[in-house]
Amino acid sequence: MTRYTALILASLRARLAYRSAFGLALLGAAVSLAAQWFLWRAIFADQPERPLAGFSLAQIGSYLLLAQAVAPFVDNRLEHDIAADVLRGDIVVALLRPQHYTLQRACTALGTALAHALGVALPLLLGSLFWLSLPWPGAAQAALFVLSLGLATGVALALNTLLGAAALLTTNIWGLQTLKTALLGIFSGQLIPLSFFSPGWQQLLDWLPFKALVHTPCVIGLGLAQGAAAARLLGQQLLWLGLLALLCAWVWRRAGARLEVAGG
Amino acid sequence: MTGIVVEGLSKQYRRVRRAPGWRGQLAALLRPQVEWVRAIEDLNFQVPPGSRMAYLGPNGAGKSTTLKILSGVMRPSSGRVMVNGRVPYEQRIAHAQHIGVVFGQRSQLWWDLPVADSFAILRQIYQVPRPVFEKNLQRFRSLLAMDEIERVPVRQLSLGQRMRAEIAAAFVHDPQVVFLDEPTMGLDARLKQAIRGFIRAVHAERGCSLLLTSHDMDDVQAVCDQAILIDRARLAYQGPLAGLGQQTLPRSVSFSYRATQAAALAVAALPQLPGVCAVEGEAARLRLHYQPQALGLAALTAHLFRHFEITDFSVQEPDLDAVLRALYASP
Repeated sequence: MTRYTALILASLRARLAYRSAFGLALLGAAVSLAAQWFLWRAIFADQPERPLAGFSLAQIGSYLLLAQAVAPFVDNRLEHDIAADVLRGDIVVALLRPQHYTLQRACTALGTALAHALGVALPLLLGSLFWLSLPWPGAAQAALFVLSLGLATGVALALNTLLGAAALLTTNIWGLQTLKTALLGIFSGQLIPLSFFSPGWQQLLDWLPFKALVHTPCVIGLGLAQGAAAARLLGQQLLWLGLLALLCAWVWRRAGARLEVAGG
Repeated sequence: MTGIVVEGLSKQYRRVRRAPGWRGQLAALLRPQVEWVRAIEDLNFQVPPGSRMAYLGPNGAGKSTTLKILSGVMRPSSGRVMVNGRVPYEQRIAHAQHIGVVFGQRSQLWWDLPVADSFAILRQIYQVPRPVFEKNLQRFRSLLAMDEIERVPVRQLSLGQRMRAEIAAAFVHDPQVVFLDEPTMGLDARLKQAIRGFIRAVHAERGCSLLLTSHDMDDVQAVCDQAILIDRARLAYQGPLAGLGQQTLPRSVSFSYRATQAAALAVAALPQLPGVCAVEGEAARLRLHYQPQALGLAALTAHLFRHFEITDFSVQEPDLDAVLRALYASP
């Protein structure tokens, strides 16, 4: 176990070595958040009191904030790291270590996510809570959010590891990545809460893994899903995590045999 | 079974052929022309445990491919490999615990972290007990003068500093077998010597097996006593390093002599001596090339001293560079 935690910490520390990057990333996240907030304020301008798709303007604000906090755990660029490893042949260094390749990559991505969470998302979240005097969540609600966030992180790691396997076939996965980013933006709840979709779409999205990434932790964190509804959402996340992890193990076992290491 | 056993090892690569320019690119995009490249073919050799083996061959002979298969990173197309009783590519993780590898062009350290931190992470990855780790590090510090670099992030190290750290990193977990692929590439003479000294010292203390690939024959001679030579994907020689090519390649002696009438006659007769292949030089100083299997050095020396009044005499040891140049060039 410590074989792998060492990798998470190494990646976390490697990221934290660049202090100035965090200041700029924090500024970027704040600007993006502000832009989204003003956009939503314009949407609510005609009817500030009436909720849209079950969201009041204040709740939308909190949702955007939480989505921003969840983002580093979901956008882990793991598939990009795998593709770069394969393309440049650096995968050889990882394969020389007494560790599973995919777990090494997942640990490194997790370290990066933690660094972004500590350096960008957490200050943003705390700053907003104080500055905008948003309501603080209760302890149980916060605990459920953290649990859901953990599961979302797992699902994202598994999903991206699966995409990364495509790099072994095609070497370059730029097109696939662009497609993934577009799909995730819409279907995970990153851009808009999923309750804004029509009932048919919502039905469909309920069967897809994307909402486990952003929608579920946000809705649980905001207390919009409680009790049985929250349990159902967490159960779905757990199910996707198990399914995708199994699929990952299967695909990578087969992919390993195809691997050719580039470069002399 | 310990040591390294390689039987009937072959590896072919798939490669897409592409004509140059935009047209070639387009053609390759529409209908890629695939060709198979033979990197190694039917290779057989053994490396007993504790060996100091040089793995030699011209560029593109298949050296790196063999090392990748031996270190478990790549699968062969056919054949069988055992390293210390394990099949590397089938038990990669168990195998990796017991090998150390230096690939000259690739770094296994953490780019953004100080060298000492990289070592601490490697300690955890390989689960090296702390006393063993501390003892090893102490030894490496004294052998490689690592004190000055331990607190510096890897990205700020010079090549020489980084290579010292890379080599120490390959030995930090007491590996049984160490693969060194061009470990001194691009280093100055002093550093090369330090690294050779380090490898020799660690080998003497631990008794691990070494498999060294290098185009620097001083590296090879300083570290190894055995050699495997591959050429065009096939095994060309296995045996003592000193025996490499020495039976077949001409050697030479140089001598100066007092120019007398008798000496002039003796010079004229030299090419008739069986085994002599060339005589070059001017008056009073000659260089004589001979085939060692046709003419022994003792017999040749006796002959020269009998017919000349020698004032200076030297035997040129065949240098490994010249041996390899001749071997790589021969059809």
